[in-house]
Amino acid sequence: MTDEELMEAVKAGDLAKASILFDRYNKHLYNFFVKISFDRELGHDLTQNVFLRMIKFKHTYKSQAKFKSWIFQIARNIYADHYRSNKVMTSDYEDVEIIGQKVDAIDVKLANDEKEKLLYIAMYKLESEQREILLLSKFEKMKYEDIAMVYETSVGAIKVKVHRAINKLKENYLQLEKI
Amino acid sequence: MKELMIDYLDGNLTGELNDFVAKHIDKDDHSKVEFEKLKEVTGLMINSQELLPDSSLKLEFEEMLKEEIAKSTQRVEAKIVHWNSPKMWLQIAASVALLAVGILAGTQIASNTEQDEIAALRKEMEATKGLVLASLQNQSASSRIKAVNVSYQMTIMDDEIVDALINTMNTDANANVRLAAVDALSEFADEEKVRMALISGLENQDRAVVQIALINLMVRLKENRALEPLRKIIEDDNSIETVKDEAHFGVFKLS
Amino acid sequence: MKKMKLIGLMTLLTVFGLNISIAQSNEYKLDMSSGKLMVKDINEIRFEGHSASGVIITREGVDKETSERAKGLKLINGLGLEDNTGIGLSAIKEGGGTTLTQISSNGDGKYLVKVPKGVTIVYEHSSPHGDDVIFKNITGEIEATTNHSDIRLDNVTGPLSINTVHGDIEGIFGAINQSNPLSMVSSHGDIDLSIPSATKADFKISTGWGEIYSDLDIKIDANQGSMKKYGGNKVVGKLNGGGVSFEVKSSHGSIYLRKK
Repeated sequence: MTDEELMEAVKAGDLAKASILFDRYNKHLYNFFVKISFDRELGHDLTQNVFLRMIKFKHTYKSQAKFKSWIFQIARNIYADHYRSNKVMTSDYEDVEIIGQKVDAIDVKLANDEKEKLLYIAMYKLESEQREILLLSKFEKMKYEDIAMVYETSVGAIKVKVHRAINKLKENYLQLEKI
Repeated sequence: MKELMIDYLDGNLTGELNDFVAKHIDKDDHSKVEFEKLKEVTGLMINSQELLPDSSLKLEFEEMLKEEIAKSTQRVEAKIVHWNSPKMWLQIAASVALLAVGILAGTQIASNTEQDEIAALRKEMEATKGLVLASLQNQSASSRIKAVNVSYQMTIMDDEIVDALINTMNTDANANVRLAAVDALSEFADEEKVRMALISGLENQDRAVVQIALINLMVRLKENRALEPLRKIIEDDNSIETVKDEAHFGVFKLS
Repeated sequence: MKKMKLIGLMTLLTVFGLNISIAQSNEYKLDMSSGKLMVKDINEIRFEGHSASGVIITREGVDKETSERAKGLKLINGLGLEDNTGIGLSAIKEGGGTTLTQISSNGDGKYLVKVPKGVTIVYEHSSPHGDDVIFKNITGEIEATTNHSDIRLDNVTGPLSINTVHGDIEGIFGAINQSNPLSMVSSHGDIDLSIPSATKADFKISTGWGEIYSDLDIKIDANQGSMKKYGGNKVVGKLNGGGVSFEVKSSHGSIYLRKK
């Protein structure tokens, strides 16, 4: 069954099918949250919240709408809610060392991969929205059209945002390499 | 050129334009380096390591799913049908239901008009919350009970509402209102803050009816942390006999 | 001799329906048509709704001996309250209403309080002495708290917020007011209610360790996760499609709901 068909079934009351959607998407969501916040625990909790909302608000899923866009929209909003109530501006983290330590704490393999580590530090220095957009387009490999649905805006606008984000990221990365 | 390079890398260019960019990158040293770097960074993103969640994630999900299947979804689809009372309550109910649907789900692919509606609803929500909080101070005990019932149906157990309910549980002049608050809070007893408030409510209550209900709740929740406050009640000379008896019963059941 | 004359005079006056505020009389009127009537610890008391205006309190079973001896003196008690009504009660206007307290320490005298529609009755009784409290023909809001006394409701409509630790609650309902919730709670007592079968209500009935009996046509909402999780006996459902919130709880007693 496609994601959309599964969600349709869940919406109709067959909650058990939510399990399959969980299996398909939990890693994606987990990675999204952890790579945006560098906090595994938070990632765990927020991922759980997404699925809870998916079930509680199943009746708001518009039939035939792209499931991946819908679920990431929920994810985005949950992340935004979290930051609104915790009032933490991640761009406050200027210090490379601090971010570096956070990355180390996430995963041993990551800590040992110099380049990838640098990538995350470079990402951390971006605006929250830019990080999100990159996670969706490059990490999640979502198409522009699908991302446009997540943000409820035009494909053109998304394209511009993605390009800007990539360029800024590249700049950050290059600067960090020099250190 | 930077823009084009990105599209080129993504494979989104065709025909003449594609060739043009390809040539440019090849010819110009500066561009070549630029491109290589772009490729590197993009590659890192595309090939980034997949982090694995803890196995408890799945277990917790299955737990949650079981609960949701058992629970009625009526609370979420809060079409509070039974409010045949003054308009104010109908409006509260309607906006709570619509808001729960619109905002929390991370709005479905909404049109512009829907987006405006949602913004308006968000405003109404704040007003609604204010109304509910104010109603918790109403003169009439039954009106306060109504406010508690509505606030519990506002699935967004917003901090302010939770605090107001805890306050109501501990200080309302009428024991029935306090009990309604205990009921509302017990729906969210899985949240630590609420759980702690219920446990401390045990010690601080001065209404036997409410204390007895709380003790019974603790027993049903199998909450061992209630043992301490229960023992205090038993040892306190000032405790009412009936409450002491209940506390004994509670200690027996929880140990 | 003197005594006889005095009593004779009082009787005459009462017969003519004159409300004389002399040292000891049988009736006291409060000019109230709305707000709260707060009644504390009056041991033998009945409330009845009436269509006249104001609150009329009548004392029955006065000890004539004491009346004569106490003539000219005021009844006082340790709380610093005094009998300012002439019927052994103190009536004090405060906070949105009037508070009635019994002054007599041995709780003499039975009281009948007639209440107009717009007045909310707030009754509190904490001592183990005293009889049951009765509310009859009341269409306004009732708040009642007792420790041991049973609470009887005869032809009431709600809204109600009633709780008792040890007492039983017995109620016969008229056409139930849909505007605000009804809540009846007892820790150890039973609750026995007769409800018109056409009533529209959303029921939440629960007991901790007792049983629930009913012959009402309540459509039970079976999806109660809470019931499974927390044990106890809980019934949530709608009568006639649902309506006002009607909550009935007993921790240790049983609950009986009857078609009227």
